[in-house]
Amino acid sequence: MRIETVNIYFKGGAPDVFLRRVGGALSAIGMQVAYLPDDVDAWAESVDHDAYSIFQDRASTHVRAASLTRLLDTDRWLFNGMDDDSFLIQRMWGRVRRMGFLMHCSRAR
Amino acid sequence: MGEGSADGFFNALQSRTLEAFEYPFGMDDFVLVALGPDEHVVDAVRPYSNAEMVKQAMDHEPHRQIIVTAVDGLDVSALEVYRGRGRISISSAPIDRLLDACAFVVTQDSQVGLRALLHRKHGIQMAACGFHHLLRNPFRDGRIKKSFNRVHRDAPAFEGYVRWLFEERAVSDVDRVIEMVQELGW
Repeated sequence: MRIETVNIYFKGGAPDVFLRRVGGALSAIGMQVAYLPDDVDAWAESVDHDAYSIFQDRASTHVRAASLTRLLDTDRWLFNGMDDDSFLIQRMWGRVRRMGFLMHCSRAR
Repeated sequence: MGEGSADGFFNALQSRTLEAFEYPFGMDDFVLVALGPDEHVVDAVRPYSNAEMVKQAMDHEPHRQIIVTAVDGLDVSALEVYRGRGRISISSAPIDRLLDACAFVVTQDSQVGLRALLHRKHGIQMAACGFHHLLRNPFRDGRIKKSFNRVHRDAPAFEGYVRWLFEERAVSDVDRVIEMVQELGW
């Protein structure tokens, strides 16, 4: 099954040139890319528990996600798709504040 | 696997990444509890509040000093609620100084867990998050008492794990990310 939208969740700092290049390359192969920055302020809304379950529903039916996690301050990044690391799913769905922002992005689309 | 020993890779990465200190922290053999923003408790993902993490460290380490510090944007003033509670101290020292001196770390922050490994320090990862492979984890251990017991007895292969993570699992090349996306069937 081909998924046309991918959310990239950046962990460990604001997107830099490398991450923009990743997004550009994904766009080039036909994906719509949404950047989900690791910015606490951006997740300040929707911290109630309702957001958690609503986002779970939306994520399970509409969104495929991946993450790029920076390894400390190095140029190395850990790439995970939702299907290959169950911890990623838990991390993305388990942190309510972050989910508020994810849901906001879903609505924005 | 790249060439060279895991020790060599580890030492080179450590020297590039960690800040050098000119004098010792002045205290060691303490348990470091690194607390991030106190988010909602979610079963099986983040089952402990910050206060519960501190309590678990106190309960399971009755003979050690507990140093509590703030990470991931948490303001150190949020730690004042723990001041004056028996063996607890509050520190705003750089995380590398604390990790370098501690006996082990208790945290829910993935980056702190990874940094601890670069200091050759073991720890208990109290949440489901990244870089979980080497640290003790109550989810996998089944009960938190086991995690605290095993953190003393384990002999983690810090060097081998760090090289595996940085050299085999991580990428620094955009083309490799695209390949991985396609391998996942997207």
